[in-house]
Amino acid sequence: MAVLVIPFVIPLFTMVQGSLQGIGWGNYTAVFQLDGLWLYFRNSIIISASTIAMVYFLTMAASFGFSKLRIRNKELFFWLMMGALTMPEVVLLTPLVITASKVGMAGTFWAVIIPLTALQIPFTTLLTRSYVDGIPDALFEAARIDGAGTWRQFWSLLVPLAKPMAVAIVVLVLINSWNAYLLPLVMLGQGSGNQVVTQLTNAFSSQYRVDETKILAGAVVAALPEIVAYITLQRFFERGMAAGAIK
Amino acid sequence: MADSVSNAPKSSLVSHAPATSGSGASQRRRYRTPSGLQWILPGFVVSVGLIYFCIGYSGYISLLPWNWRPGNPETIQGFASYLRAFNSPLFWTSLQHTLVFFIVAYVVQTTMGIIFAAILHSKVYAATLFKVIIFLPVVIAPAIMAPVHRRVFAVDGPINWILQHLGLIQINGLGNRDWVGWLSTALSHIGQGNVTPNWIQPSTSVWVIIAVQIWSSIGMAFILFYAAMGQIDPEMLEAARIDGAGNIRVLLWVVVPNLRPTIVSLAILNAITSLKLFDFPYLITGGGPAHSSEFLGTYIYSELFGVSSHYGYAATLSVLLLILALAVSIIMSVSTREGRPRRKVKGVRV
Amino acid sequence: MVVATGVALSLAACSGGSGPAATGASGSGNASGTVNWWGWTPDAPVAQKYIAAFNKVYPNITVKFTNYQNADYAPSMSTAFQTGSGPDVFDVSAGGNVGGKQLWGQYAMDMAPVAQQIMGTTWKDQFATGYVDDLTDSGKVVALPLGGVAADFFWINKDLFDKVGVSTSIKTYSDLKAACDKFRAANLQCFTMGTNSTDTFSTELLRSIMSSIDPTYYMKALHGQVSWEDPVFTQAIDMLRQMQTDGIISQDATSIKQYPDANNNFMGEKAAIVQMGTWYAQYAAKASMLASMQGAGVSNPVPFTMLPMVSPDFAGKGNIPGYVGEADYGLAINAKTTNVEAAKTFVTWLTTTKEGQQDVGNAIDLVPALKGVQADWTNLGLVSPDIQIPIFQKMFTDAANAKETRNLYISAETGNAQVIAVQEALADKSKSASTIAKEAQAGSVPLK
Repeated sequence: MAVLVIPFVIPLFTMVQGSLQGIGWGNYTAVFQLDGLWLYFRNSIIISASTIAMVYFLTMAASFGFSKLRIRNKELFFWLMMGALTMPEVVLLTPLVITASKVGMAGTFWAVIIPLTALQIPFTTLLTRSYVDGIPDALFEAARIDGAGTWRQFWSLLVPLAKPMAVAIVVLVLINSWNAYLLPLVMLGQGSGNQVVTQLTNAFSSQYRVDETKILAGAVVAALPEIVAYITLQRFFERGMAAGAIK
Repeated sequence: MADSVSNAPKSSLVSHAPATSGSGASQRRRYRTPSGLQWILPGFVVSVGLIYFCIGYSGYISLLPWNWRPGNPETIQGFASYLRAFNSPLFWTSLQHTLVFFIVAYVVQTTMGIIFAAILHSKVYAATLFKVIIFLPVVIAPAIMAPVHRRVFAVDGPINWILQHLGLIQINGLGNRDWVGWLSTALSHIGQGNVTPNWIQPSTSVWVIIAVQIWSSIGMAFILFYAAMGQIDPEMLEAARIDGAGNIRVLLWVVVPNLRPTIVSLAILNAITSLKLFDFPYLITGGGPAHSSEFLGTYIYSELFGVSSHYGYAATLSVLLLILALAVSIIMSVSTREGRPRRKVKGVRV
Repeated sequence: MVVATGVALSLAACSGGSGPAATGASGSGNASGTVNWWGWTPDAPVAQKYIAAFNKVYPNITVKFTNYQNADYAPSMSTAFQTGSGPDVFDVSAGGNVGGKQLWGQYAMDMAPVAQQIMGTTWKDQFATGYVDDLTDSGKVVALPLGGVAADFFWINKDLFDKVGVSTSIKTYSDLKAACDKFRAANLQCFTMGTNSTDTFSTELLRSIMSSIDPTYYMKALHGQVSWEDPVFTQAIDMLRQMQTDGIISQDATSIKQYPDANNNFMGEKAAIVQMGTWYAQYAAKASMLASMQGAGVSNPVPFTMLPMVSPDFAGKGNIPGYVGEADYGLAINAKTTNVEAAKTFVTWLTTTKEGQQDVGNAIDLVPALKGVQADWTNLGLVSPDIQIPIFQKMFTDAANAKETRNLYISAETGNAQVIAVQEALADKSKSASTIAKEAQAGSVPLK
């Protein structure tokens, strides 16, 4: 097993090794002294948190509706949504860029959050629906008989029961939104404190000076929060993936 | 009354049917499950609405002149753009790269994912550490790792360093790294004499992207298989062992068939990923050298923001990409449908 | 820092010059407000120095500079202008797909009346030859030139040459080959170059080779008067390949980029020669050289002496490839800016005044646009001033007098076709030179 894992470690090792060349730890100092460093993280946090919140609520609601409630032509709606699952991000670029500028939204975080949300929802709904399918209808019937309205059923019954799935959703959406590169690249104006963490390494590239050692140090700094977050949440994530029925 | 409710089977079909019990029905108000429309609507509008709107808009733009840019007059020209795409060698090249990528990445991921999951299900020292290492690449953004990968595959990078110390590479008179004698001859025999250890070259640039992408996504496959394996009824495994099956047999004939749904979902995920692929090819090889690692995603991007800007053509390519994606998903879901009844019969909870 | 000293000294010592250039009265004295300046160049620290110097004269005007990656400049500008949120002042270049005047001229105000008001009717002649025309699009002076650039020559690491015992007089191909054999024997790369990106640095070597075969060919081909399928082009491709076989061009040329990799090879003293232009002079000063060497991964860098070297006569026909140059970029003002006076004050101070241009010159990244302005050489902290100053002065004079333009007539498509040609020549031996030429011809779009 240890031998098999070597290829995995090579890039990580190279990254750290490269970041310590030149002036060594001074590269990291330079990264931390970067003007507006915290802004990159702030922006990524804003975008990720908003995307996660939106995806979570919309997915929960949608899977509740698909799984437990009555909808005429339900499967049609569902398959329309799944069709959107296959959408590559790049296809959205042309119309999004044009629409965003026409509507005046270009350069705002919404121009990134909304498309990211739209892209995640089909997959998370697919996962969550099958999970919710596995929750016995009887529970909801019992609640209804006890006088709980639909909203109550959703909030007090479904949400707590779907916690493991929720964790899985949070982790997946966190990864996808934190790592988003293309959409922020195109939608957000560069500089003026508007960039996200994936663009952090650009701070060390200018027209005639591409400072590789600091780029690598920046890469390590940018990657650290995700690594830490994953390691802490690792158990919950595994549990969520196991519980979430993967069809 | 109460009994019909508590004994209701799980199947959603039955629970949503109006109450059909006979005589008692007229005495109580017929319960109609509340409409779920308003529940799915927000999610639906945001995702489907946005995405299909973009599709429609792209479709419209694809009918404009191929070199249309915002600000130019919008005169519908028809399908000339599409002809241009079909006649463009670069279009077919990128498709070819996408296909190769999909096949290789999928096969390797699935195989290695299963193997890793199987190994880590048995007693392994420091299992959690390995699990974290394998999944870590999934977590780190491609955009952040790209400069690192450029170094890893550089002529004087760690991979060549390892190959040199394994005795496969030597430094020749020109100061260049080259294969050692026997390897050189072997490669020429299979017609790959052109390939040098200079990895970002036309003959191997696609493989670099494939390798990097596998590195960054195998963790996902691993977790999915690991979770699915955890669901397998231990009694089945016991039964197989009692019958005298060795480890490999158990793996191949008992475990893997139970992983079928995961294997299928991975196929869909990989297909989508290969069509969408952008970050790594763009940042590591730039689609080159000489378009040797061009993918549909990078091709579209370069038509939008690259050397010259052709929004009309980019939209056309996007529509073609979409059609491909739909075709692939339909094919995939058809094969999934066939699998469903079999799963129910087996009684395995998935 | 070095440049700061230069700035302080230059403000105190106005260099004598010709022409009625204004020395500070570049705009209305009581303009104020904030000016947003966007550009892909200069580097942020350099821009901050310009702004600081400007603020000494005009403290009431705040200038905010945003530096964009080359590849991100066009998309960001595009989006901004379409939403009406464009910058007040922005960079414009003579051509190309980053800041080309043909792309952004439509958003700029005509600078001719502005310049004329300050400098008089001879204003155009006060700038280096051709610079204003380089930035004129359809009769409108889109931007006032900030500085110029010249290329198609090489930079060498004199210390390495001395250490290995190679003469710095490289006039012919065989001189170059002999030099490279010695460098390789000493475990160094001879000539480092990166071809694996969309920028056109690598194509300038090909251009130099073509010019040594036939000095008139390249410009004719750019204008579409001759085809790229001409023997001059195919011979140049063959020669490029020959350089690789002879060990002049190293193995990694096909997989690395000019920036950062080739630059790092040179700055890390792993290679002795690199092909860069006048902008590279900015690293000749001790402080910026140290920063570059550290960025290249050298732990305890000792600055070395870098010198420009004229292109050798590759083809041996007696044609020495000359400098090619033009206005590198200029500053344009958004026609819809709400801050006209402040913008005008800033732009004209930096481009038309002696002090502004002196700061530009002292950054030794550009050839000053204003005639008669020279960098304050003795105070720039050069590594070996005695050797470097005369050579640099000649380089800048030759640059301002370059006979051919650099990127002005290269369309985006042609530039890209040339890049692909170089990549294929070096990376894909199976393609014949004539096939490469054919593809180059098919992909090029000539400019009149």
